Amino acid sequence: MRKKYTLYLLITTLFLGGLSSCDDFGELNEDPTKSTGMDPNLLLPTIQMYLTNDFQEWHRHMMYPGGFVQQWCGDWGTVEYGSLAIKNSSYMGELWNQRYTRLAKNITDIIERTDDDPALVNINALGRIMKVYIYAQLTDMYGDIPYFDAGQGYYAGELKPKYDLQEDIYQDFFFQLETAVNQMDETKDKILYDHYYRGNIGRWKRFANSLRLRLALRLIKVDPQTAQREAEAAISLGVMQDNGDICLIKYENVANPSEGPGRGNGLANRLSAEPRNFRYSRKLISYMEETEDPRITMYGRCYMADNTTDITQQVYNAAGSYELMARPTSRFDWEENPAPITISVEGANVAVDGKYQFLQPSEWITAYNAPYINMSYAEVELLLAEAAHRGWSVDGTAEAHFRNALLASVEQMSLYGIPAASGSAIERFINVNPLHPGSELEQINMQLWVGYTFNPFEAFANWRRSNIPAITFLNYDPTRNQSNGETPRRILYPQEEQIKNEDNYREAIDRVPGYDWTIGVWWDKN
Amino acid sequence: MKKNNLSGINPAEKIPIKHFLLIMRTTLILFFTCIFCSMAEISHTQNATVTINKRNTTVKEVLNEIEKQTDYLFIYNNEVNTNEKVSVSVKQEPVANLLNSLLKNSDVNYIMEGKHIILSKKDGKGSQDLTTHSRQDKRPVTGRVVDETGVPVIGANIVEKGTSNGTVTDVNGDFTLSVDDDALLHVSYIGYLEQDINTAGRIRLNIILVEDTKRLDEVVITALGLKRQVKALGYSMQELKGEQLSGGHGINAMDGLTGRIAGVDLSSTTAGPSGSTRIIIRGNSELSGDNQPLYVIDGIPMDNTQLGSAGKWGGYDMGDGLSSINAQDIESISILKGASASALYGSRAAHGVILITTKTATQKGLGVEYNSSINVVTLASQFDDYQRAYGHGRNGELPLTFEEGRGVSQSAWGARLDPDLTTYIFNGQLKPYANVENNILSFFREGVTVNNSLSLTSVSDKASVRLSISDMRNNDIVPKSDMNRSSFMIKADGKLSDKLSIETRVNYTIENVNNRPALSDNPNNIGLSLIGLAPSFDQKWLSEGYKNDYGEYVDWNGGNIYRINPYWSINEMENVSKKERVMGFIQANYELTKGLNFRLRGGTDFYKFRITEFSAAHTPVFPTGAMSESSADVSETNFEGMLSYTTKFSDDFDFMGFVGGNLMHYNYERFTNTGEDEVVPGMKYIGNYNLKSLIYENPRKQIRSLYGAVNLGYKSLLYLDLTLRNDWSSTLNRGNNSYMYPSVSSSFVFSNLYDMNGLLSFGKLRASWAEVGGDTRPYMLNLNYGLLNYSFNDLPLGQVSSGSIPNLNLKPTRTYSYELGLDLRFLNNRLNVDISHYSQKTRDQILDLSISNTSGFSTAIVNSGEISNRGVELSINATPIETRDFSWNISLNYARNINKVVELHPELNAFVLAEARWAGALIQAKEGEAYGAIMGAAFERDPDGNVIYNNGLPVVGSDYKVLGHGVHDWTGGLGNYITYKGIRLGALFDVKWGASLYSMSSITAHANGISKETLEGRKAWYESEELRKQANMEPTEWTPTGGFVGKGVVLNEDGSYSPNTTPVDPQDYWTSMLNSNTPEPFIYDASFVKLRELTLSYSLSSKLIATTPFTDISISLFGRNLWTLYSKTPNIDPESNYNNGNGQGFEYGSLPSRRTYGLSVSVKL
Repeated sequence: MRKKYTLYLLITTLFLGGLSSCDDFGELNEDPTKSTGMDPNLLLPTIQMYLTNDFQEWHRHMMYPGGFVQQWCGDWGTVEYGSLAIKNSSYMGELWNQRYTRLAKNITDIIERTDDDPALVNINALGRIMKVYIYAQLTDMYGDIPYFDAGQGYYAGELKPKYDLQEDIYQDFFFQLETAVNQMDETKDKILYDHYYRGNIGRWKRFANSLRLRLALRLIKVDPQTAQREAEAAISLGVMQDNGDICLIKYENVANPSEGPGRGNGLANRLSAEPRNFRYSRKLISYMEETEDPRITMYGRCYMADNTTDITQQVYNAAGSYELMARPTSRFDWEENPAPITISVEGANVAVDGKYQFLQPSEWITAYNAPYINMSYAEVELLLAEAAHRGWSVDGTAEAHFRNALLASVEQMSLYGIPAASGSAIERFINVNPLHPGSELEQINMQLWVGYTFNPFEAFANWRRSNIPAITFLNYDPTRNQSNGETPRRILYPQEEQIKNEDNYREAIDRVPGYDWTIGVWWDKN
Repeated sequence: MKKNNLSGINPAEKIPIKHFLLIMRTTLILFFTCIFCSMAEISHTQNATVTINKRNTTVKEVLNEIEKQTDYLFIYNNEVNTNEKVSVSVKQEPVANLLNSLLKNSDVNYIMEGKHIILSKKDGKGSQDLTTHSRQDKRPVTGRVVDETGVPVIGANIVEKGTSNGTVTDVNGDFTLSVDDDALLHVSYIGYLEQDINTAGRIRLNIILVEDTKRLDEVVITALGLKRQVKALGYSMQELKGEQLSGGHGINAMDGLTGRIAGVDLSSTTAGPSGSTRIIIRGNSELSGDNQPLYVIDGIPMDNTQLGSAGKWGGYDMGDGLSSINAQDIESISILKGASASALYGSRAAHGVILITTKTATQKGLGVEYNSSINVVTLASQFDDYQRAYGHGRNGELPLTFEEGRGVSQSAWGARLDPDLTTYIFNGQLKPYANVENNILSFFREGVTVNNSLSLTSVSDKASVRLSISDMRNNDIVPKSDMNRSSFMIKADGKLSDKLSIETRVNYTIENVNNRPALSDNPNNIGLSLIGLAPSFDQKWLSEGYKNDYGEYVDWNGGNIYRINPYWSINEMENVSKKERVMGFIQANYELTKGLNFRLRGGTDFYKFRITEFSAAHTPVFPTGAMSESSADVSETNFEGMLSYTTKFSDDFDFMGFVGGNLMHYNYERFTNTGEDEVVPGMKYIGNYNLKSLIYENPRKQIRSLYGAVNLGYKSLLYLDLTLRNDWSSTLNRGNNSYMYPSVSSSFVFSNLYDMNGLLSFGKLRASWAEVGGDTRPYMLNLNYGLLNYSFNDLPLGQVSSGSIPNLNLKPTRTYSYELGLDLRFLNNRLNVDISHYSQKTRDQILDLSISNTSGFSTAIVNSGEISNRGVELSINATPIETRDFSWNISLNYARNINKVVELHPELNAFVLAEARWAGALIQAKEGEAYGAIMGAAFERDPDGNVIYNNGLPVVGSDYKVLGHGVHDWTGGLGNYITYKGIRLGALFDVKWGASLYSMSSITAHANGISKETLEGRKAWYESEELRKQANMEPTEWTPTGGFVGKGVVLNEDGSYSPNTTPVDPQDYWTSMLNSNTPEPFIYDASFVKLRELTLSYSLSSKLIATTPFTDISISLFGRNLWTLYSKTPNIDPESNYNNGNGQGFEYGSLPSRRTYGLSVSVKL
């Protein structure tokens, strides 16, 4: 019997031992769908695409900036929050949360993994340029932001990044751009996956310098010396030379998945979503009409309720001006609609409701595959015109650069697939808009404003540094207005930073006496 | 007499406690021996013979000798003279023959009744007279009450049924009582089954009480499927029988637990029957993870993965594992609450274990049972208690044009209702501007659930089999939402030899759900689209012309694409899901030698879940149409081996011990195909989309375990359990992936020490301590990169795919807990009280710490934090009235849990459990606060607490404050059960108290002007506006004469405060609340009291069905969620959640809650 027991115990021990003798699970805890060391080159196209492929870009581009600078109206969110200046913590946090988690993380990863590798200078430089581009949007919107420690959750274990001074951040922007341009070398690593320039290092350098020029001019109010120094440095290193240098991303002709990111242009996805309420403001259209801008009918068209039947000409015939074909600035789509008119479409008389008598984003602008222009050559020419006007060291006159800008800005519309404007229309546009002495800055910056219609971030930033265009806040709902009847000058930090990064958040808002969105950021010195 | 001889104990020496202990100690063994012995003997009693050779002895002596040699017992009274001298010499003589000759010449007659031989005096009237007495007179009955071992039962209650006439047994167990003829004697004694003895024709009764094993030696299933006596448990556990559970007749088998068990908190989403269930036992202890108990069916863990849920931006409740269980197959559910109870199950049991035991065949021969029920589901909540004075429009004006009309479908800020007026609505029709009754509720339909189940059982000597088939069909209150479930189960066991037995079960379930309702902020959430319809706007109008002749979506609400016309939602969008599930196990048990058993078991839970979602082209957020199909294969397989040994060291010590090992393997594979850009309109096929993308996920996990336990018992008085388990988890790094957890529990049955004279029938003190470890999800250790599921412009897209900062050095989470409990049963179990106190601390939590997004990640996986849960649980069960035909039973339970987030992280004290769609509100675990604090910015207040106003609107501060808690302070239940003959009436009340709910539906209702509160100031404001227009003044020039004046103060320039007197447009006031960035005005008390269940059942008496082939027929009527006695949440049910995550306390776009009425019939053959 005793022997038998021993045998049983032995069997049991072996059985249990076989189960659990080992703490080695091999590769079981490695996700078969993931990699632990991906080529950093593969992260670049994702960063580029994610900048504007999200349905919610509407929240970031239109809702506040597009409403503040009075380019856009009609749409409920844009008027409610931007035009009427009502705070919504969720929408104010959209830019912050998406840029930091979706983009900063990947940028940090590129830079961290290539920083000390002399063979990977180009991808490293591109990481730096993208970093500047993205953080500039953030700091221009929010002011002091986590920058030096940001995105370092993994590499530095930094869970609570401190908020850096915008001044320091801008200094680093210039440093990063200069470093990037200096280290880029066509003989070194190839950029394999690049939606902007297909790895063309020369174009990347010109984009980096152009970006530096844009950021330099942003300091014009607070630090004109630095603005001039950096602008001149950027110009001397070489900025964009033609529309081929435009920094843009092409999207695919695809509707994005429900409200999220996808292969289509995120803004276009939102602008074309049913029902289409976005309208250009009367302020924008009347200026374009005044300047005989051939882009009016490229930007905006009138469509019947079916969204396809183009009735721009018929409505124009009835209205008599484009100005009247623009929705009154800062008004909702149900407000101040004109009476229905009857027009003839293919021989039949049809009634057109008021809402459809206003110019809405054209079929090219709302196409899912509309390109998104991060920075245009036309913008660079306008910045050069301003630099020249200010007497900085620039080749060519302000007038010449301004003319180049007008031409390029009309020609670049072909990137959307828009039929080219007639030569005479372009000629007239240039001829009727010579730079008038005394109003150069006004004219240059108004053109920047018009050109930034699909990039209201920049319109908002440029307005704050230039005070152009002159914006009268239309306080249509004074009871609910939360900006004392003024146009806000920044966006407030996401409320949850109070909880997740409390000390640094407090320090940052304590640096801004009376912290509120009516107070300008560092470079927006009044 | 024989009784004395058999016991061998002088009754005079025995004290009650010893007596009691004796019974307790030997109960189990003797119980079975007795049954076997008696069964064996019955067969030869009739032929019993005796051999007696005695001279000059008494009749009494002879009778004693007969009793000795046979099983016969003699019953007789004093009238029978047994002292007559006789001489007997018989060899192998049948008893009857001996008696015939023995009593031939005496005046004593005898009757043999089974084992009893009754002697009576002939009295000249013959033996019949002894058994038939005069009906008028009381007659004495004597008797003796013994237990199954023959030991006299002292102090047993003997009551003549239906009277107060009664007595108790004396020290010999004897009693005498004068009773009416034909009287029934009710005999009861604590710990024994009560008996009714018919005295008709009998004067001497020998009553054997059978121990009530259900009560004192109540056996429950505990961890690893071990059967244990309740008295031996050192921790709290509660068991519910199947029949108690089906009282609710819910579709989800767990519904029946609601309100019944102290410390077990159930909640579900408003998704309805196809949704998931959240069960929290003794509070939330973990920050990450689901805090859900482990479900174990017949010893095999069931996967309860939540297959999808709604978040801040919406989604669907895809249900969980529980919906696959057919309630009719459940024999019992045991709830293991504390860590000690569940320590043997390892890390997954840190939040308790719910053990489900399925039915087995018990009845000899063929048994057939058929159940059928039909439920009608109606709307329970006050979903439409809105203002009925103003119609759709804005600024107090009637919408005049079609465009205006279309823009205000969801805005009730229009003119006063006037049936004589008409307006254009979104589809261009002219409609009267009048109040529409049921303008919202009529959207929903009456739901119906039909449930049928049939089971066949058979038991033979060596095997038993139970087969069951069931079918459930449900139509939900939401049109086009339905569900059906068919399940098949076979469970069998058998003895292959004397030593080897096997048991097996296989379940196969098919579950189809069509059109799960969208929840939260999903654009097709019907709840969201309906809230805000003005009283003048009949929802039925939305069904007319929601699409145009080309099948295109027609704007109905002024371009708000995030509120889809509900008729488009239900007709042009769909989701269809199917789940097929196989759960089963096979187990072999081999008895190596007496007491030493080896058990080998393998079990699996395998299911395939497939869901397709379709949105027709022109759906507002999917203009070109979209479809997705997702298929998940999930399996959890367990192999277990266990060697156990049971013995008795001496009469006083019991021992049971075992060692075992388990191997668990979990595999989840999910393919999700999404298609965008439809080619052929309406063709629901993934190939019909121009753009397709594929996501594949494959979390895997393995846990290896070794465990063992020792259970010691001393004299049914003291019990001690020691357990030890070690797990190795694949989710942690080598070196950190082994963790051990010990537990100790003990119970002390102190009632066995003293005789409480029947006042205290049973008393037990229990104590336990345990430490449990825990692991994490797979793949949390390294930074991972992934490719997006599509390429873009022909280039691949890579990214850092970890959303959480990985951590290579994760250690296991530790939970420490102790528990003290007292189980008291008074007055023959008429009053039972069970009290528990527990304390639990979870440290080194592996948690997804919410970190600033500026770190690049939204969370970091860390080992940090400590959460404590302390609490008290009380259960009282009382039977105030109990007679033969009538009884009234009350059960009450109460649980108070005090939760505290003791520590989070050295650097960060924020842990966000959930984020709200509106006002930046969060549910947070905040250091020093209870779990689930509802956080948000608050109104600024003066030192006296008055809200400060500026320009007529309240001023909102920017600092986050604790505005409420999403977890209830205490929960309770009260059940009342009345039985009269075959009729049983049960009512269960359910209370949850002290939580808050942030109702975002209420924000919508206010901003849209349908809430009753929005009426205040409207008339005055519109009058003021009239005056202004007459004065031809601009709003900025005009001082309003009236409007909504917020209750609060304004800050004067000198720093003082004075009451706010500025009237504003109520529309401005309430729409500003939508964007006020504070949830404060819409946080409500979520306490409630509900009549959860009402059941009336009737079992046909056996007389009625005697002539039928049925052995049982019962009919019941039942209702669920019949009445809300207390609730403070406007228009929505306080239990309205949109998901079952840890962040409870948010509600948004809820559907009405459901009320069920039904009828069920059960027959047995």
